[in-house]
Amino acid sequence: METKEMVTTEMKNGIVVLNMHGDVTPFSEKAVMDAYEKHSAGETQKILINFSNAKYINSGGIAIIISLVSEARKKNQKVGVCCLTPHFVKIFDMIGLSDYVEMYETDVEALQLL
Amino acid sequence: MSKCMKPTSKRYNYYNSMPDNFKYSRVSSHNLDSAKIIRIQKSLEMKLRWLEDMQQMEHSFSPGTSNEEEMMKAVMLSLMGNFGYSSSFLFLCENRTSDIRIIKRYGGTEEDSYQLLEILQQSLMLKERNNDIGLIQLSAVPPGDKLAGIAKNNIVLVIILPVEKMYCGIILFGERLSHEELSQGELSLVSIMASNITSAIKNYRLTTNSFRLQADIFRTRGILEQFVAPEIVEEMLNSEKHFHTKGERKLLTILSADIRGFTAISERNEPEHLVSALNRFYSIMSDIISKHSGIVDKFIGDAVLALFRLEPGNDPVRAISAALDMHKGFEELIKSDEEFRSVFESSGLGIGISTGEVIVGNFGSGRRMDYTVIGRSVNLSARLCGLARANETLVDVPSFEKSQLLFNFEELTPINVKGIEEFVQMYKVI
Repeated sequence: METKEMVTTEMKNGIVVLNMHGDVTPFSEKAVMDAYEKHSAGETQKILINFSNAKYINSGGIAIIISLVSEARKKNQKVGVCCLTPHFVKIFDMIGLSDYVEMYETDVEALQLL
Repeated sequence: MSKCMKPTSKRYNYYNSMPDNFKYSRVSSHNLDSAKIIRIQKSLEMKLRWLEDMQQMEHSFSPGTSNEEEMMKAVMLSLMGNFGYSSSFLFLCENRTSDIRIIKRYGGTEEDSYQLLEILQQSLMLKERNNDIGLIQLSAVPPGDKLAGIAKNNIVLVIILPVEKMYCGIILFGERLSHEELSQGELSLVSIMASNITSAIKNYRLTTNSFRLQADIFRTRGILEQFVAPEIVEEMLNSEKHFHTKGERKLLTILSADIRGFTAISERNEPEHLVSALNRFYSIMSDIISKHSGIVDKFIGDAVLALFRLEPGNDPVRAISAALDMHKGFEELIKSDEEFRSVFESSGLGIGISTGEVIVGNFGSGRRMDYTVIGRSVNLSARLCGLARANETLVDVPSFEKSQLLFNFEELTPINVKGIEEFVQMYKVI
């Protein structure tokens, strides 16, 4: 599957937005990390992961997000996530990932507050 | 990964807007009953998520689409996501004593990799692993073993792969995102996971081997079918151990056919033309015999030996029907195929059919076997074939008796044939 089908990127308010599409699984690894590497270079300080178009996230997909957050923190970048369903909010809480990212209900809120 | 500042108040508003059953993680710790319930709920949810993951992974572990390293990588990511570790490492050991490599890292640093590598290389426990698939139980790591240093709050899974890759393992390393220590329940869960992974890999290997075996059989079948009839190939492939050599008595109808005047024809034609024309002849005759549920036992020069045995009691009818079609097929070849016509124009087929008990089996030595038939009927069909003129089919008495209501025959004068003591009564199909 092509990168563009799994992740699309855009720059809004100085924030790099990674829009997740479809299923976020280990198969998304290359697409997610490539998109992150490509668009987070330079002065980028804020990354927003938007799940509004994500249909499903499995444990492997969460591991990819953890990996991305880990890389971002090494670069002192701030990471936010938005548009997660309550189920995944619970999972992010349960594994402790919500302590490392800012979580927002909508992308509008995220772009204002991140 | 160091813990960052608590998120904005917006997050808590978001949290407050969630249904009550999603709020377990913020229940006050002084309420012990609730905390216990939360732990149980968390544990159950984790188990459910893992089961879902395992089910998905097992479906994705199919031959041709994944290999064992990819499977291990998927398992590693699943563990990392389920247990919320900040980093994980996939390592591979090429042989029993050395050459351990970290082949994939998520999170963590290069320094972590070096540190882990050093521990793995010095671990006696890993070096002493037997060559089977399994899990290193952390509780079983001896205190003196280097591996014990990372055992306390990390997950180490070691799964033994094929001989050339002695073992492949996963280490979930570093602090958990939740800062919680691994509970006994979670460690038990890892054991269950390891069993599931082991089963998945075993199933994968069995399926892969089965696919390879099927491909081999398919290839072998294709090769064999170029030399012997598909039905005989089937029998050979289904036979236990060695294809038997003692033979089996069967009531068959034997059809012998050859091209009249072939010796003279072969002398006046170039071998290349002859072979080309003969191959077309074999092809057409095979199709016709197969159409009538017969099997071609062999081609010898211009001669065809076919057996009809699949529907006992009906064999002569099918053999005679095949013979009539073979005559037609030969004529059509002469009409339609210029090269065939140039070689065989003035010729025709002679066919002899005999029904009786024969010995069917694989004859020869261990080095060279030939699946064929022997017996009086084989000899008689060949003799009748030799007596038949171009475009004629001669049959023996049993063949005549079983098919006289369906075909017209002309009774011929009994004659003495080579190899058979008594006079032979025969009939010509007209």
